[in-house]
Amino acid sequence: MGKTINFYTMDNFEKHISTQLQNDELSFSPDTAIHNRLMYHMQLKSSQSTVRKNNILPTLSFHFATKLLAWKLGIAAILLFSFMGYKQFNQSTTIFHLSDTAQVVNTIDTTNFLVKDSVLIY
Amino acid sequence: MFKFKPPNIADFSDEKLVGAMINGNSKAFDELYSRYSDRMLYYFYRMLGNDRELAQDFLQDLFFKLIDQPQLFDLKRKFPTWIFSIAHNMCKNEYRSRNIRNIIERVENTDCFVQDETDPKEWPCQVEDIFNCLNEFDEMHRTAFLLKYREGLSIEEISAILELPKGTIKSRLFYTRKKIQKKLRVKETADSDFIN
Repeated sequence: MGKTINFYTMDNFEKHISTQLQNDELSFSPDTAIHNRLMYHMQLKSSQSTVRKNNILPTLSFHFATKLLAWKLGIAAILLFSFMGYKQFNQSTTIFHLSDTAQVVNTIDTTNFLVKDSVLIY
Repeated sequence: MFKFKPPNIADFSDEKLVGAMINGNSKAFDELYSRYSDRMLYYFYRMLGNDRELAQDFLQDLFFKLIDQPQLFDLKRKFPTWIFSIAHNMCKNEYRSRNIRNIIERVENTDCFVQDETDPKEWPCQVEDIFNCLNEFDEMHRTAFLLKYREGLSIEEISAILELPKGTIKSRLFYTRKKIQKKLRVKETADSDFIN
């Protein structure tokens, strides 16, 4: 008939039922429709969540990754040249002295450098 | 080169997954569901008189509760204790509202259990016998029994789930075991008499 188990000792019996229950499996599994409904509900809930995922690390990762390197170099070159051009037109002021004691304050402009001999020039 | 590697959610502990769920991470929920859905389905199925449909409904309700109010989970506690205490309360309410003990039908061929089908002689339908005996107990005894022998939880954990002192849990387990043992012994004797 069945496997002989000595039920008269409690330890054996305890082990036996433990094994039996742990080996027991249902002939069906959770309905997939339930899972889908729950996931939909969770996503709705998630969209209302005030806490957003941290985007800074993936963004940094994208910037430093080798993917689309040519595009990145191109964009970097454009930015660099734009910056250099900008620097060229960025006129800084300086003060220098001329021999006739007048203090001349001028902006350095290689294309339009005018010096007058006695007046303060801006 | 610097490369960001997203954390593998499968490596997270249950408690950490709940924390991620509170922050609206749906993958964390998916992982929790995959870890616990089978266990909870089994629990409900056995607690609710082997009713497959009801077990599925309860499973869905349980996880809906989890989605709606994950913040109720105390991150210092163990997740299994929490989820089983919710499941236990759901069963308790069901028992109360329907007085289920009186309406459980002990259908002989309820969904059969997948045993070792290669050699059925080695595995007589003992589980069925155990649950037939177990159906005679109230939900506290049944829960304690399932949590101890199916889930392998400790007395402390069961005590936290059922909100009962450890001594009470121990005595209930002992009483349940003793009674099942007695019933199975009687059955065994009857079987051997039948063979002879």
